[in-house]
Amino acid sequence: MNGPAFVLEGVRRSFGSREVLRGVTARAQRGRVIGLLGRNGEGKTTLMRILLDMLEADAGRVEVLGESPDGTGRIRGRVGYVPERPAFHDSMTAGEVLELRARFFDRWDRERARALASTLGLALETRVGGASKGTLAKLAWVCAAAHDPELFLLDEPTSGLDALVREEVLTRFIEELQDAGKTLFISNHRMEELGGLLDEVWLLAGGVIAEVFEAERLRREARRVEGRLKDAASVPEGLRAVRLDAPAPLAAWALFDAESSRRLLASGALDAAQESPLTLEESLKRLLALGGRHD
Amino acid sequence: MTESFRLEILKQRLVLAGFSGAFAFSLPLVAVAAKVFEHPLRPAVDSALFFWVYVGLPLAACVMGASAGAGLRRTYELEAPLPVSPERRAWAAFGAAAAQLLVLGVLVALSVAALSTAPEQAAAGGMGGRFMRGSILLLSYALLYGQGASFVLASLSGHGVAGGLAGAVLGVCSYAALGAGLMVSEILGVHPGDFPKAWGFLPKAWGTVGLTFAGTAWALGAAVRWAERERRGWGTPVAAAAATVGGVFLAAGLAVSSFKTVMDGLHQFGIVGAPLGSAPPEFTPEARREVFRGLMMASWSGDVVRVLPDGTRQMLFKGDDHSLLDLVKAPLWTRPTNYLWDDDGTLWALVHGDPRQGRDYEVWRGPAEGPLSLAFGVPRDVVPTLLMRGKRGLGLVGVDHEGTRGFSAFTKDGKAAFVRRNGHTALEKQPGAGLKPDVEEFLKKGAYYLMKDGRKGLFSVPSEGRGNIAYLQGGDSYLFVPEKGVGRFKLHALPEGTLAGWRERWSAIRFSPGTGFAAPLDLSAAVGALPERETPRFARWTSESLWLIQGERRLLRLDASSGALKDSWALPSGPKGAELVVTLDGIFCDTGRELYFVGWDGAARRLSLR
Repeated sequence: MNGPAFVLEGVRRSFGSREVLRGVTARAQRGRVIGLLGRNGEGKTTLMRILLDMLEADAGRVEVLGESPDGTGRIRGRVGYVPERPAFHDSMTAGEVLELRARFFDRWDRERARALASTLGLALETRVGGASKGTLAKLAWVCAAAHDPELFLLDEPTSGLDALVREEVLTRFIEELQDAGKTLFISNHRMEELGGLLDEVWLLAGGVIAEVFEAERLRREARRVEGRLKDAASVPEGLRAVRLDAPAPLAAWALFDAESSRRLLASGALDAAQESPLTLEESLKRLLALGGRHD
Repeated sequence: MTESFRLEILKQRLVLAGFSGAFAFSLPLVAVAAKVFEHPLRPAVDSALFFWVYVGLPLAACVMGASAGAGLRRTYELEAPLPVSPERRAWAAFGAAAAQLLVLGVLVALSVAALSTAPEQAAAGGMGGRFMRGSILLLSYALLYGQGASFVLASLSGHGVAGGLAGAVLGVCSYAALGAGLMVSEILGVHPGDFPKAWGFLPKAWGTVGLTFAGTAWALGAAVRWAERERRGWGTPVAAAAATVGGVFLAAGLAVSSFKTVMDGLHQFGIVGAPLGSAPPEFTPEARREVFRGLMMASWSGDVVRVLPDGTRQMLFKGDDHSLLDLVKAPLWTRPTNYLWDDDGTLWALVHGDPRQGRDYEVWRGPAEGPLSLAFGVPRDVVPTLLMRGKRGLGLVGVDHEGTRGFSAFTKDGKAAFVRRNGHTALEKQPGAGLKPDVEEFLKKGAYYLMKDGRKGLFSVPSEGRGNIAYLQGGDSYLFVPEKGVGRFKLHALPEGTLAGWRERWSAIRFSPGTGFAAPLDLSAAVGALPERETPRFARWTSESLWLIQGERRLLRLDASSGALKDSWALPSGPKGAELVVTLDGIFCDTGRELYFVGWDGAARRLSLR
């Protein structure tokens, strides 16, 4: 059990003429919390479904917890999945949904499921048909965790949760999973909410993993640099940076590593440049814009 | 798989509940309606049950199948995250639908058993019972296929209604095609000889059913896998649709093949039994030559031909042209039903008449080489069954208006065909009245001779030991000739006009009309080692040689003086042996697939009849 949590090599997937994934290559180490950042339609859900063996890649190699997806669904028995839009059989109650899953998952723990439901404030008698988004999200969380999976794939896991529950899920639930050495792969539009929990951030853009950032390094090295733009042509190419809004004649950048900051400052493109640290949350907010450059 | 199956049963329960409820409600409703409108109750209930068997169940099959297939698409987001493959979920969904159809089917079947006479009909023997059982099997196949097709097409398209309708059409077409093919083959596919018979269709039908199920079973999983996991390209859905729809084409192809087999079979010939009649005529040498030169064969289309040793076919009677629709509308029978040779070699035939001409039966006649032509029509108040030779000449055995069996003679020119008395066609009351052997003389002498009638012709009478006279069926003449100290034995007529038989084991004896019995010939050296069941029969006996047929498989030639074996040849044979007819010049062998002629020199040649 020392191998990576999952490996992707040159993974491609199209829908009709539209190529969504164009050769995704990445490796996730076990026990890491990885944030997947990408704009709408970039293929985050597609990637998760390929990892879950719910969708077949057109090309490339996929390995999840040492197994290759083969269509049997066996991988899903070891992975916890919270979809972006949780859905369950309308005619069932939450308790019946959990009981159904207990019969499908070999490692399902009914006690654990009850405890999780209690923690999240989920009433098991609640009927699924007509339940609120928040209730469905809670139920999805319980379904994802009750069989003690090694890997969690969380697609917008806090969507629909109220602020209090979101806090509960983020600060306690995910921390517990992290402490237990689980691997979490989280797609979230508001990645800044997860700032303190992340080990890595992957940027999915242009159908590939365009950038990989260590969260700790982001925390240390991300900078805001602002100054009077003297020579736009002198701004170096290939900076890991995003231009920010600033009133003319000023120009500002968010730079995500120390090397990019050094190169910009050394370029002479700015006069009276000032730099200030960028919080991780601020960095994560800005990273999404970086994805636009990789389309 | 079990858990998926249980989940699907839960999801689909409302469909079953709906149909079951409708069924349970319909029978009392029909009973009430029958009472209100003053209709007989039993037929009303029978009609309702008939509707449920032939409309309700098929509808339920397709609705359940389509609902299950489309339902899988609808619940993709709910169930795809479960650790089960799409194929297993598809199989579980279809299995649940099939199980629910089975439950409904059992409900209907129990009601039919309790309230209808259909079970007795199905259990009955004969063609009626067989057809009903076949129909039930066929319906079961069509239900399962229609349900599977509905499932596949609904899951491919995502539309339950469209998938269900398409599945229903496929089920109906497949049922119709297989049913038509089976009916045609069963009713009409009975051929002479060893040609493809009704049950030849069944292995192909089972093969078709098997392939259809296999194709649909593969398509079940492939369709759902494509819809959920692959979601690209058109190869899989096209293949799945083709595998599903292919069953109909297989069934249609089999039906066409069945039709063609039957239509081809109509024109395939089988041997007509030697029409010597109840008493063999005393042929003139010229007539004997013609009569025993060829082989009479008839097809189901009604053609009657004489085949000569060189393969020449002479048309004796031209049958009617039948289309398949004709055969389906009316039972098939060949017009000539019965034949008889006259002493001069004229062939007479009793023929079903043309109702449009106002005749139910006709008598035709013609020379041995054909063709036959109409001699006269039989009056409608006589139902003839057999041509016969009597004292007064040739005649018809039949029944008159009172149902009395009798015999009525006709002259050879057909002019004075029947005598009318009291407004009815007269028949002799004693069927055998035309035969008056010299019985007293026969009995006085204490032995049985070959009997002669008043015309001094040669005929033979099988005695039952008390001087009773029975009629022979035609073909070989059998004669029991017990002599003092010799015992009884049989003689068989040979084409050249002599009689031959086994006096006792391996002692052969010959009788010639002019010279009487020859000395017995001991053949134990040649054939003594043969088991009794393979006792050879006589084919030809001349002054030089004797030919025997052993076990219908070999032709033996022995020396007529010493009884020593001279030659031995294998006769042509088919998978089920061969039917042999001995003529003056050799032996015709019909193997069921081919016709051969084997000369007395053992040389065999194939005669094409196709």
